[in-house]
Amino acid sequence: MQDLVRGLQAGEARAYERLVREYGDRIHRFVRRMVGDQQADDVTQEAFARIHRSIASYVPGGTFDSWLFTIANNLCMDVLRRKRRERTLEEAREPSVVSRDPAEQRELQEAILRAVDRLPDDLKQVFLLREEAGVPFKEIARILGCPLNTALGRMHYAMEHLRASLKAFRD
Amino acid sequence: MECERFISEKLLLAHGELDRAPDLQTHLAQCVGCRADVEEMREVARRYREASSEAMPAALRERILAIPPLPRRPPMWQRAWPAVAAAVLLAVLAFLLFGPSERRAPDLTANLPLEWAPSATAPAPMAEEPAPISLPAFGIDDRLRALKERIDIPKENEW
Ligand SMILES: [Zn+2]
Repeated sequence: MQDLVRGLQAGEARAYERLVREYGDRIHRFVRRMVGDQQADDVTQEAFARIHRSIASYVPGGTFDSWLFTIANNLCMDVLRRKRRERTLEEAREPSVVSRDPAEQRELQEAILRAVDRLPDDLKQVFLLREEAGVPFKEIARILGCPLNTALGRMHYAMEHLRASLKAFRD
Repeated sequence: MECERFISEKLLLAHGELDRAPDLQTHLAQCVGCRADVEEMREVARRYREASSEAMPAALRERILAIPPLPRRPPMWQRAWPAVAAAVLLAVLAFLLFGPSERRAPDLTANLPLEWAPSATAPAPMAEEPAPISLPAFGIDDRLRALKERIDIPKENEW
């Protein structure tokens, strides 16, 4: 990981390609579930542009992953704040669910993605930072600037929702 | 209820972020409900990971890869090298010219290789007891100037 950071800081094209290869899909999925399909690509691209611009000033503190996802998360929150202001009579956006693989459990997978999509933004944010980004709870609390127990409380409610959805799907 | 006490710890346990929690372990040994909670949270996480696997669109990947790289910046020590070299050189000169009076300044120009360049060769070591200098035909300022002209300190953009 330090190699990657050093390469990025030295402006090496190969390091940047590795960054996109190793983190691109994950960041895109995170962004997509946070802001929805329509803006996912633009926000992801902007996230990479910012990562690129700020890498010179990156100082190892938490993990590199949580640094990356802090940038992605901040952009998503800006978009969600703007959306909240704009959303008046507009109907809730369509769930961002696309099943590209014809797996057997496709329906169950769609159900869980739909359930994640329906979570309130603050619960969804914690859930995605943990399960999509793989950021530990302590880091999540740091990213969000809240106590650890607040982050865990939100995760608890997210889990309650999702477990109920899984149960409903099975019944 | 006792189970309520363990909400946070169960979450941490389900995500492999709990080091030691003897109270929770004792509780789990007796409580079917909490064991099921931990299992179901693990299942949600697993199901989510299975479901969330799509790659970013190829066109987006191309756009991201096309973001131009930042100009290459040499590491700090390389950027600072010329300044450090100049400072060290001046310090040595100052010491030799204005240092302890019982040791008179040696002939600085005598020991320098003709094609002296930074990092190429180390200056030849000083003799134990510098030979008393014979007074030069020209003044010390001229000698310093001559020395400076031979030391070509590189500009930053050449590094
Ligand atoms: Zn219990």
